[in-house]
Amino acid sequence: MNSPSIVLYENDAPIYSAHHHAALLIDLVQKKSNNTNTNQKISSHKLLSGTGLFYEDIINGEKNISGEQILRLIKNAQLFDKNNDLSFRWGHTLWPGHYDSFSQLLGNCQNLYQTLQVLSKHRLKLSPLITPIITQDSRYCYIHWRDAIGLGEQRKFVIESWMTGFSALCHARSKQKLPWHFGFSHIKPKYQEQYQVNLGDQLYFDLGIDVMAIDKAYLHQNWQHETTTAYNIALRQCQQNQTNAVTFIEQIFNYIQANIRQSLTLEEVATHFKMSSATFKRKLKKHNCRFQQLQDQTRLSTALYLYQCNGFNNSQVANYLNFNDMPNYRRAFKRWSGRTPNNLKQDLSMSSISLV
Amino acid sequence: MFNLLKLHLNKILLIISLLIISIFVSLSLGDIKSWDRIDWLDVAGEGGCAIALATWMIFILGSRPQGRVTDLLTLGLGFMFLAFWQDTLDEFIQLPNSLLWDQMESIAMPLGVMLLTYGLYHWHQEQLALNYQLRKRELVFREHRAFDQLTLTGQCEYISQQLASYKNTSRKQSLVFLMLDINDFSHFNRQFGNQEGDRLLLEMCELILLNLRQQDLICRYAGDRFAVILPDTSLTQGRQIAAEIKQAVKHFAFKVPQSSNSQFQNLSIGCVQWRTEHNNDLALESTEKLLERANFALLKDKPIHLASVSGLA
Repeated sequence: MNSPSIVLYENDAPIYSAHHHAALLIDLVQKKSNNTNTNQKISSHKLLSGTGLFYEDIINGEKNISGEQILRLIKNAQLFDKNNDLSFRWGHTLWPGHYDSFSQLLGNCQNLYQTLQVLSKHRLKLSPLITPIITQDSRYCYIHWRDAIGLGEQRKFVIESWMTGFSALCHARSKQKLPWHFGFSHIKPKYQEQYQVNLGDQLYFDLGIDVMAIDKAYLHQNWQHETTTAYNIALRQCQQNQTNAVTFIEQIFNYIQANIRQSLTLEEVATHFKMSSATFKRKLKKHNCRFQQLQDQTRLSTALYLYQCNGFNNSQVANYLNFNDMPNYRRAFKRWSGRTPNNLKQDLSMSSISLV
Repeated sequence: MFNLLKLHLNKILLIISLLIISIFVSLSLGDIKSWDRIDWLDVAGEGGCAIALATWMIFILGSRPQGRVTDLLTLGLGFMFLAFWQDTLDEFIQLPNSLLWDQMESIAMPLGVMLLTYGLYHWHQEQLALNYQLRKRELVFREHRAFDQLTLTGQCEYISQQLASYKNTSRKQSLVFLMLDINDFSHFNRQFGNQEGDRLLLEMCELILLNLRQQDLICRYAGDRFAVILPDTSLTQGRQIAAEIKQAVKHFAFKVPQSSNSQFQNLSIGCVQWRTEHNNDLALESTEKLLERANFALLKDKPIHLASVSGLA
């Protein structure tokens, strides 16, 4: 996994098709302005300012853009979002989407499990901004949505879109509203009604990570009567077009996760990726994050996983993560999540996904 | 704003030409004051007033269609503006004292004030007429920032404000709160696209409005969910109104360009009465609690398996 032959794509690498996810967002903002009663016409110029893109680039369907450009576009689009619903509307259009054979593959999956596998495997095409990390315990399946490109301030917007999008995809494919639980790292926003209407009533905020959970019984429930032929054809095409690229942020997360029991230093990670600490720091800054922050996030998600899935108690988790004493661990946990372990665990158990 | 300004091009040209005339007349009749005789405090005061009045004029012209009220307001402000403008010019140009031209400002100012007052009276009348049109979309409160851009009804925030102000009034009649939601709207959106979805929401909103009484209020909660406040209504009456809305929507044949078949929708409605708190008979439960109960009632009203109802696409 960490073999040096893999290319590290940074957030300025043009690896995403402009006419995919980004175009959907542009369409939404522009259509919205046609439909509403405001006489404010949104020029594509204003929407694309600072992205270095032209509208012609996007409609001709060949331009590739970088993560950085998508983020800038999202930032611009938010200026036109007076109702706080743009992220959710974008979410509804994301999947299966129009991403060539990848959309066909995603749209012809037979059940939730297969859908998750496809989304995760072809994430560069289907889920470019966030990596879905899928885990299971005895009762639940969890999708932890992890930043893939250094989302920075746009994280909340993208998380809203992604969670709405995935639950809407499942709704459309299974023809029923699946009982998802949604956990968010941010605090309860003012426009909570949008969450209610677009996602449902099982919402938990300020959890430190962004996660969706569902009863495992739904994983293999059969969705469709459609033939598997379409799926198989799409599968072959996707395998031909598959890229093994991993983004810079993903790669660092993976390395930290693989060495979660040691406390890595910035220098060690920089050495592993064959760069100087200064270069490494500069690259992190370009991706809107700091090393400590990435490590903290990984430890927090690991700790929560151990609580939730392995039923560990505080001292077992502290022990696993190599903390010498409990006060130290509690202090660190508070730094990661802004809350004490017990306080956060209480919220998790309230979410009726209780610890056994 | 600039689109509307174009409508008033002749008014703007008139004012500008009056300005230029006043400069020429003053210059030809008077003498320019020497630098040290200028009172800069007066210049700032009078000039500032002139600039403020010009800004007001632009705002009014930029936000209003043509018509009598607009003409009166602009004329009033225009005369006041000219008076201040002439005052400012006087600071730079010494006019002979006896001159009639110098008296112009003493005539322009009262004339402007009179016209503005008369204009404001008519604006008030016009506003009452507009309020009548806004009925069912707006009650006691006005807050344009809380309005939904698509349906031009209030947003969630506006509902809370309305309910809070209702709670503060002393008369405590029974209030019924409805939460409405289109069944399987996401399916419609996927099939016909967002733009058609938005149009459906807009027309659905108008349709629900038609079925409401004069004192009722509709707001867009979020997405395809609408909230309706029914003041002075018993629970039975509320349920009756909810049933009527459902009936009306059921027979609403929505046309989409992609299909020759009309698209029919069904609503789910949660209907709850605002009740007093358990431990306190005098205080109503919080607005959050009310919304929560209404949302819960709405979910209970949903058909259990939408799949069997909507069929396969």
